[in-house]
Amino acid sequence: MKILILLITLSLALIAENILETIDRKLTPVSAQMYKKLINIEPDGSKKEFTLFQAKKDKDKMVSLFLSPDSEKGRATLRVGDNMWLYIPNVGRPIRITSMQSVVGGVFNNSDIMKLDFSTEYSVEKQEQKEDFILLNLKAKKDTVSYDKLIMQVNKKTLTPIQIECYTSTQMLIKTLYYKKLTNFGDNIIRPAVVETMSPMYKGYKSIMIYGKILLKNFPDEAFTLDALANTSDLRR
Amino acid sequence: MLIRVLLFIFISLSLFADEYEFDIAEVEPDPYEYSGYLRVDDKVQHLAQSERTYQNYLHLEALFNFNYFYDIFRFKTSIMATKDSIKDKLSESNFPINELYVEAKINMNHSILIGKESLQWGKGYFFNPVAFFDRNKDPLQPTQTREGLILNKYSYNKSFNSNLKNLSFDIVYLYASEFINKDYYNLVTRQENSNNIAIRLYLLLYDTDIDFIYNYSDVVKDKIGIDFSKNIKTNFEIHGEFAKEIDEDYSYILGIRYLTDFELTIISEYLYKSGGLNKEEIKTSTSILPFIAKDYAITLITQKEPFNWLYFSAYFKNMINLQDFSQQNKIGFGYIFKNNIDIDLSYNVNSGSTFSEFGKKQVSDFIWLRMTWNF
Repeated sequence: MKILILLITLSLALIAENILETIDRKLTPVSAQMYKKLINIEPDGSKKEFTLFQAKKDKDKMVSLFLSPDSEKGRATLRVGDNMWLYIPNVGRPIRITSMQSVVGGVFNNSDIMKLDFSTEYSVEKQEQKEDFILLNLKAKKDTVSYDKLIMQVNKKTLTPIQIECYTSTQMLIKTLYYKKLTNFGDNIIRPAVVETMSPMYKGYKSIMIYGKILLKNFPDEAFTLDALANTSDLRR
Repeated sequence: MLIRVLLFIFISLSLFADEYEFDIAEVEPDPYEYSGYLRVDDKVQHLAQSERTYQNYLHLEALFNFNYFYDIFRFKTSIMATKDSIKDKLSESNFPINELYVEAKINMNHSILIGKESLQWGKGYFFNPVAFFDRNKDPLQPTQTREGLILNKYSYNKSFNSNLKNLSFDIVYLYASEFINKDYYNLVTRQENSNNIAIRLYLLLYDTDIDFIYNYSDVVKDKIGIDFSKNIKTNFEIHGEFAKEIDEDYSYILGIRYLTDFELTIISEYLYKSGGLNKEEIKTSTSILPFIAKDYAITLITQKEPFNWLYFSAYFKNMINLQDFSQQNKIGFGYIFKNNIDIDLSYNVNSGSTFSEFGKKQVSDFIWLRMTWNF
């Protein structure tokens, strides 16, 4: 009997982990390039826009390059697992940075922009079938992850997130992400093109991330190295 | 009538256009890229000799970077123009070519570079003892663009799926004479024509950046260097560098970078130079070179977006000579406007006893305004 219960528990855990991997694959292919726009909207309605190129490979490699505005142009950020570096043109060699650091100001931080697969950083603690969505309670696998706990509402039909609440280890809500505008990017990539973020820490402020283009592309591992970071622009060509 | 209807439809569509619009055409890559800035630095300096004597130091700077991509080749140039002036005392212009090179990426593992490049080796923020083939960093302006050196470089880069995640290897050849790399010829190789080679091995091993560097010269003694950088927590990085000239002096730095959960960043470094001057030697020194003492500590504390003021930062910086305990303190703030202009305003004070390094500076304190327009 004990063995049966153990087997059922193990199976449920595996199914739960699978759903996270399915969500990951719905959101981004294993290896791809993307163009994104970040918009910071202030309480008075004024906006600041940032355009980004991103390349990712496997579960733990990602590189980002700012294309605009001119004040940020050429800044590149590399993530390999828990390691993260920032390259600023004219300044020098890339420096190690932390995932909690904000690159451009506003509600987004590095880990939002350079987000790895959910299944790389989180495990499913609890899964509930609600009437309109699936509710997942996710727990960070390591204390190096920016948000200790996520509460994710998942669209039953598309298996993409609808809303994610991000909490610290002290149960403080840092921000809420809203996934909107389901879009077909081609290559069977159908996902929300917009992620809106609001934070109780930045009252009245809103940040929007818009996916403009997602393309399947296989990059060599060496594209995600410190030596290649200053030349991230090469990956676009 | 038809035109009016079409116009109405067009205007209506514009009004109700998707607020999440992203015109992908605007991000298609060109075969070239450019960037740069125009900058004004104005320092109102209070001279140490008299309580009421002030002077205005104006520095103008323009930088233009241009990259052109063709097949496996990248052509890069970075040119600068500067003008420094103090009324009736100084008027000086410079037009350095910071970088001018061609790089051929044979494949993802091998590349060759010929020309003038700023290598910028080392992990330190304020000091880089292992940067053997670079001009010295100015700890007062560590993020300042620097002129490179003319060299030939071969690079090898390889990634692995193991505890050793990445390995890269550089071989650099630098020739110095009165006509090529003149500053290196004057400052490093005692005004003798020289052949210099540096070999750098970089490893990303157990999530730690490590560099081993060997520098051979046919004129001066060889040098060895090692540096490292590691995140011991997500918000806590440590780094260090050690450099030694064989049978001669050595120097090292140890540093940290720490980020609190309210976005206060602390960067702190300790520098030691075995050949540096002690307190008594500093008193009698007539050297105009900065940072001549045996050891220093520099700390920069930056608060990003205090009170949730977006794009605003406030900072405090302390540089202390640990031999004579003279110091420079700086307090300031920065703001990035939405039109690609950023400003930085700071108040700087040199303090120390009469014959100490910072105490005997001609300028006792100054207000420094920097304005940059990026393009």
